[in-house]
Amino acid sequence: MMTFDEFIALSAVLTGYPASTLLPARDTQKVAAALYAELGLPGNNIPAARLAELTQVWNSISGTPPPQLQAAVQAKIIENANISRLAQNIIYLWYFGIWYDLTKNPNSFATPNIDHVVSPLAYTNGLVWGEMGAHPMGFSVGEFGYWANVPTLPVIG
Amino acid sequence: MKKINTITFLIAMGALVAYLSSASCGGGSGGNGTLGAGAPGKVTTQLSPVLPFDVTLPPPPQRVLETTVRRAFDLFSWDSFIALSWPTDTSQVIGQHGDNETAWGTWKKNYQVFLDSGQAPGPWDVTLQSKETSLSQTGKTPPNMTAIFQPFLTGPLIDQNGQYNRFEIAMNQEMFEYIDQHKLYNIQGQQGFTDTVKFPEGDNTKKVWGAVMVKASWKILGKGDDTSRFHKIKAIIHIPALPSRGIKDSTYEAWVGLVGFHIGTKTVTSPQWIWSTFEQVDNVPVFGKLEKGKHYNYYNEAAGDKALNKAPAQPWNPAIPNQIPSQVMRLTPIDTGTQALNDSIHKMLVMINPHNVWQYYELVGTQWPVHPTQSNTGDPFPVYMANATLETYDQGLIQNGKIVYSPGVTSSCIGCHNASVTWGGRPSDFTYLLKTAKAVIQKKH
Repeated sequence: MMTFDEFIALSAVLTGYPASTLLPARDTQKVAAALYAELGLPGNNIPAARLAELTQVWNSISGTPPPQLQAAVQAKIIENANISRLAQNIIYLWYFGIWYDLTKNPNSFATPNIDHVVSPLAYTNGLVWGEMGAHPMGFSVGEFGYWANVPTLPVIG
Repeated sequence: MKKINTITFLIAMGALVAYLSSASCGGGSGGNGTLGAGAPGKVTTQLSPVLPFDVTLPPPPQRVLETTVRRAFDLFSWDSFIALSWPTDTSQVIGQHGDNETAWGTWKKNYQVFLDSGQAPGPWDVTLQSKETSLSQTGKTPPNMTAIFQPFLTGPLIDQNGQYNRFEIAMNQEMFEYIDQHKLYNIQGQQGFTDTVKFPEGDNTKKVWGAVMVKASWKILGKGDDTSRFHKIKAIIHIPALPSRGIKDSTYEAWVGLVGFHIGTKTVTSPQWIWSTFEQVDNVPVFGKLEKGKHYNYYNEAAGDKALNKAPAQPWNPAIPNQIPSQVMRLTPIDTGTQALNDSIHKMLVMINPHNVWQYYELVGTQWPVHPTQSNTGDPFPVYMANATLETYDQGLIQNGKIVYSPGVTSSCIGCHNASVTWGGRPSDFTYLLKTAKAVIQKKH
């Protein structure tokens, strides 16, 4: 099983966001914990061998110096058919707060699982909204009249 | 008594000392006991009548969101509640005689600031304001309680006697003067105000108070209520007209007991305000933790949970006969650290007087912006917070025995007040009060 720390470190590389953003020191939303729990959710039917492989591969490259780390992840994880779909799902989790059915993919796993929103907070805190300079439908932290302003886009560090 | 003497110090250092002092000095029910090092016959306490300016946070290395930081904000809440509930005669101590008129009772009520005529309100005059409050105790000119609905018209709260709760709002001098100076007390004034509404902020460094507003929830005292457990005032109760049911507009006098209390405080550390909420301890059981046989103000064990946390059927009018009482539970339990603080403060209040009514009030929670500059709402924590008497029906949903919270729907003080706006279509700095302003009636020539 992948540990929580391993999950955060891998997620930082997969999403492009620093770990301190994914898991703030003063974490009000508890999104990281909710997303991590998806890896152990029985209904998601993640084959244990694949999760173990992803963990093992990540640990084998996690010490790579930052300039080369992205390339290592690309070569060892994204281009590894055994675990690429699982890695993609971790990206989906962070950006959309949604777990996608792993069978809807050429690299599908044998056992079906169900698309679902991880939690309301995981959804509203999805990274995609900030990337678009937008907000999820029905929920905004902008002040009254914000819709008249030009969206501001974040700069990913 | 006037020096700032925070509860923080007491909790850290003095609780044991005070407890031992009370054990040796005794504390009579009439409030004649002496606590601590006061003069003989004079009741003293380390609780303070001075409203805190802002929260006092622990040093950065010791700041842990769920424990030390929450504790600091909870202490701020209790400091505020104690100061606001302090007797108007500050030579007395809170609850010394059981109950007392409160400092906040001298503040201007919203209907004294936003007049029906739209005219400028009278100046801040505690003497006049307190006169009205003190007279309310004699029943001559009690405060007029007209509000029967909770925010967003989610519905009324009906107690076990079939009586509707009443609500009132008041503000401190700093908030009032900002409104007065900028002529925000009527619609035309707000429409002509082109600047950003920015209420004054409390500041520990400058030792200045910021804007503070309070919202109180009252129940009409009646059968089954142990009146010794409520802060009480006499009030004029308003019945709005409902012609379809033959109900005419009317008023009557009644004793009401405080059951819920919000405090909103604008400060330098928390420009999204600090939101403190208190309740009377007998209000409701916690979901899944019913104390069998206990009397609750808004829960009847025999009624079943079919209508749990559901607003009553319309039409809503307090004069409609045979009202079905609200069946309410608290969906989010009080944090264990907050509860421990409640217990500590209650002990201090009991040491002043075993019959101190203020021991029957508990802090439900404090919400504050954890990252004030991150967004307009500042990343509030806890994410959701509700007072069972003020956000009864917005606490969350129960689905298949589990509680489901929804961003933008479940009660969040900052999240909701972020949407407040003036009559000029500008953000109103986290208060809906400005939207209660009326238009100036133009005289015909």
